[in-house]
Amino acid sequence: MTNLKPILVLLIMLMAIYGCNEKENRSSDQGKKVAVIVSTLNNPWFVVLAETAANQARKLGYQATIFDSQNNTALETDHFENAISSGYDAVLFNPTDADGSIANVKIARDASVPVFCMDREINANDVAVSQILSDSYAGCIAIGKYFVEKLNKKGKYVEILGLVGDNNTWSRSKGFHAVVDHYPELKMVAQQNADFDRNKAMEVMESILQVHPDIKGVFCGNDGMAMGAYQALVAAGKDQQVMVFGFDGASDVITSIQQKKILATGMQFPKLIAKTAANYAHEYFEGKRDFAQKVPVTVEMVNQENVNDYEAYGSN
Amino acid sequence: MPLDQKLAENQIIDFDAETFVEGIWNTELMKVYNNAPDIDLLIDSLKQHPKSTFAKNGNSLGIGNIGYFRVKGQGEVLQINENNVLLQTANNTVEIETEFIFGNAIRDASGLIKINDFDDTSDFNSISEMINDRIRKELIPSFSSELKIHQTVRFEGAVELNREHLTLSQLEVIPFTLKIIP
Repeated sequence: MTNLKPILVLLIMLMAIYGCNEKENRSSDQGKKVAVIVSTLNNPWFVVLAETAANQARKLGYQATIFDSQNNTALETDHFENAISSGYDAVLFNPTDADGSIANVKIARDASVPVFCMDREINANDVAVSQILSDSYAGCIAIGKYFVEKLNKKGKYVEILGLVGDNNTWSRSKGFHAVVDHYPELKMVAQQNADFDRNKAMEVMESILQVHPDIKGVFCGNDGMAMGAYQALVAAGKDQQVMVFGFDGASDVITSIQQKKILATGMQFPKLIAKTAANYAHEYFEGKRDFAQKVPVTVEMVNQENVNDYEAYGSN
Repeated sequence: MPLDQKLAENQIIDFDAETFVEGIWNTELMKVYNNAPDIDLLIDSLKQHPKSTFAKNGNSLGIGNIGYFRVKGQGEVLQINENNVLLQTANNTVEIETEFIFGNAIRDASGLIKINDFDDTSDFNSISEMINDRIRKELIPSFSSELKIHQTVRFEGAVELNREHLTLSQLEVIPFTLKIIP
């Protein structure tokens, strides 16, 4: 019996090699599945992001399914676990929380399923294969400059922030303040979060206006909140007095800039981000491994002067 | 996490951007800006071959339409405004920014500093803030206080251009060096 041991070992090795080859052969098949896990579908910008990612994956020959995390990291965990157990081969991921979502990406990594982050960052550089992120900081510097010019360097203003746990919230805020804080006569009288939610922003703006009826400007961390703030200003009869600035490049805000209701926004390119993520997954399946960890996508300011050069959600 | 707690956390910065910028200012940064292309030649090249000039001379961090370009040149002071100075170079009118020294133009046009060399994107962004701060405090005040119409100014700096919406009239230059020629 002892003489059979090397033969058995050899057989096991051959089976393992055969198994690997079979897996590689499968990997060259176009039957792979791609999960698109998105923070929320309760915002048209993320709907564009998710649908473009899924459509691009399908165009490349893969099955694609969209999962909505509803801004809940626990639900996001369920999606990751389901995706892994259901045999998905890659995740195109828009995280809910920069810290809270790391564990979910690790679930996929530990199962050898590559994750490509879209738009939102996670605070770890060795878990996702690549993170394709809007350069929110630079975009909000441009908006900050425009804000200072339009408010003529003085006056009271308000900032409405997005989700406290999302890095984009702070990249945008820091970019904006990197400019505006140099002007001491511009006074921020309130800074509150509204979680990137239009209705919450409207409520926040309504209560701020009760205390600070004399503000001149409001900077919002996304376009949904800008529209909510604008609604509150209209209801209070202050829409002509207060200048509203958003961020995203959403359809209703581009129209509102044309109608001079909103002053400016930062045009992100969700279609470009989503297609890049899907293409990266395809390249990963083809064998590429040397991806840049962070791939910034430029943001362009859309304002009163150039709005006719842009369409909602940017170009492809 | 409560907003107050997060705002307090944001104040904690471990990266020393000032020392980092001090370490490259007189060496690498000075060198790349000394070797910048002439602004008139660059504008001609962008007019004739925008795509290849973007590829050859532009620097960008990732993907998208924005590119940053190093430039240098010399021109006569046409106008001194609240936020900028208009210069007439040999072939173009350019705008030297003296007020809105913000953004990543100097950092990114240099091509020296890469985002993936930094674990924390905030650290990477703080480099631009430090570069701009130094320009605002050390370069602009002495320049602005001595500047007069019709003087000749020599400059090195950076411009931001959008390849899809390319506008080459009155380029806005973020200055890295400025010298009034006697």
